[in-house]
Amino acid sequence: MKRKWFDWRNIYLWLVFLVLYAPIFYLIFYSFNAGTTMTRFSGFSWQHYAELFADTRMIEIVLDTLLIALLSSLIATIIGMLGALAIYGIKKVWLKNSILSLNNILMVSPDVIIGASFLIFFTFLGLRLGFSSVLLSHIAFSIPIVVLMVLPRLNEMNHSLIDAATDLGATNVQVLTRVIFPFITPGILTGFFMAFTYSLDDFAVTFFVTGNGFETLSVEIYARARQGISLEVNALSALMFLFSLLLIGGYYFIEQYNNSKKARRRNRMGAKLIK
Amino acid sequence: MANTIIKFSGVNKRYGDTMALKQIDFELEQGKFYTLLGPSGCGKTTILRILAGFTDASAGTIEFEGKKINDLPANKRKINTVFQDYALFPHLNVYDNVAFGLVLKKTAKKVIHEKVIEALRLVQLSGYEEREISEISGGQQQRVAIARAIVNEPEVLLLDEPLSALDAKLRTAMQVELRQLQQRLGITFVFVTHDQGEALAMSDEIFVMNAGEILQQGAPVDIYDEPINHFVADFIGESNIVKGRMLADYQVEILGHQFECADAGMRVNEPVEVVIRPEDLVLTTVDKAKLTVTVDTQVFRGDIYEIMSHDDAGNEWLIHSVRKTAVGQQVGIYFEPEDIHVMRFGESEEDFDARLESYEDDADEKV
Repeated sequence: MKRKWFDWRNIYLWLVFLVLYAPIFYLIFYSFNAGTTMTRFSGFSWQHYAELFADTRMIEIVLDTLLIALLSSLIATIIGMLGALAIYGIKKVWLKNSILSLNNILMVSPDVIIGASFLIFFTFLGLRLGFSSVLLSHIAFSIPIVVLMVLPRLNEMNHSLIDAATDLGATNVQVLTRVIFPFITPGILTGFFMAFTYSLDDFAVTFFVTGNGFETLSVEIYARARQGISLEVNALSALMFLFSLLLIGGYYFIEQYNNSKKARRRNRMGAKLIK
Repeated sequence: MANTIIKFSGVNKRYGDTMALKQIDFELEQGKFYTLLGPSGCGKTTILRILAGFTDASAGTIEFEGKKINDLPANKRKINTVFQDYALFPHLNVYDNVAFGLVLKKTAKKVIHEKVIEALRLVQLSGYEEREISEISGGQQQRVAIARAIVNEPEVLLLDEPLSALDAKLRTAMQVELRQLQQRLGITFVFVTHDQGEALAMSDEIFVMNAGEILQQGAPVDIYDEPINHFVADFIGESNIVKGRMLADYQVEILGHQFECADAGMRVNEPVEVVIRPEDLVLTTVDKAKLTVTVDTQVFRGDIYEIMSHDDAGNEWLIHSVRKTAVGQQVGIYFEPEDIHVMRFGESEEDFDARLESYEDDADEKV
């Protein structure tokens, strides 16, 4: 069958992508504006990028945000993974289900409520609001995400793999490191990246628990937007968009490379067998 | 027994209110091929899991080479298992799967290499070392699973229905290969299956199980020829089972006729059940017949005709015949005295063995 380029399904798809991406491109387009508003394009200029790189406060906030995201997702991944292992090991069905429900409640409850309760909790403990309070709260709301990503992988795992490893002489630790971890690694990675992105763009929770001296990107942009948005933010958005594009592209090429390596090896094996 | 390797004494297993195993006693000798045979849920896999150390017995002792191993964890036992679903590690290739146990034992790399290559050669998978598990067929995965177990040189190899996922032809081939492998390695195999053909073809000794009990234990020929009760007779091969009465030693009455048989040692006039295998029934003319039946159906099976028929009393008779007959026809069936197997109701295995021995001695003396 000949593939028609003109197809209602294609048109629909392009339309959806257009609607989704238009605001981003609009934003990026105006980051090159010589003027200072997004209403009129008065000429091309790098001026807002220059402003952004001169703005050390902004750069610092970006780095802080990335640091928080990286640290919180890392710690949340470790805790969430261990939590998933613990839930997997629970024999009593009712207990397992209740813990899972508690986990899910954290996923669906509004960020505002979580943020507010963290604020109350931290002030009650007398913890100073700042880097550590943001980090702790980000870890906390990332853990359920990791659990939800890892648990299905664990459930998918054939239980006799554990028996088989034990049968072959593995201790509990060896079963964990040599059989379970390799098997759930895809789930752990997904959990990590999900936690990372959640932490990066979280506003509501962070808004409650940041103190005076510490800001993350979303909170800072919100604060600046209230005084009329500067095109410096556009420049930052453009750069971050480019950054994620590069990340995804890199991931894609690594995947391709691995696949072709596997295929090449298979071909070599095949050739050997035919000989 | 001189070289007993495994001994179960009074082993029970309870799951909640249900008894999965009731009072299991047996001994396994070194270097033999044993089969645990029974329908699903009879407890055969539970025995295997207790042997491997994945499940604890609720009561009783398990001995390995004379030492109690109830509390020895699975990873310390010189027993390896081939799982029903193979349980190969999907993230490792064939070589690393087979090497897994040796790597854990911190064996030298060179030794591992030699042993893995040798194990793969034994299961006829040389040249597959670098393959991923997902790239090989079910039959090959099965062999990898066997290689992974035997490379550790266990004293006992447990096989949990390892052939059930293979197609019929491959299964027959693997039965022969497994048997040969066992003889070459000279270690004890404990094979679990619900397939009686598989059990008969491979084993030195079969344990027939039902509902958590071992009903009968013996060589394949003995179990087939002298089933202890209705269940065993029905489960091992196809059989015609009819009610009868023991008139005297070597004389049994079935359907009002008196026949000579090869069984003795029962009470006079004791009600019994009589088994006659379908392949022992020979079609003949009505005048030469021991029994007369009417043919209901006839199915061609390739090597034989499978004939269902009934007698005047309404008992069904299954006949395996190389000659064909016609549906609706009255035919005679003939059988030899040795073809009649008499079973007492509720006889224990010990009584059964004792009775057989008593009159087999008589028979020897007579000769």
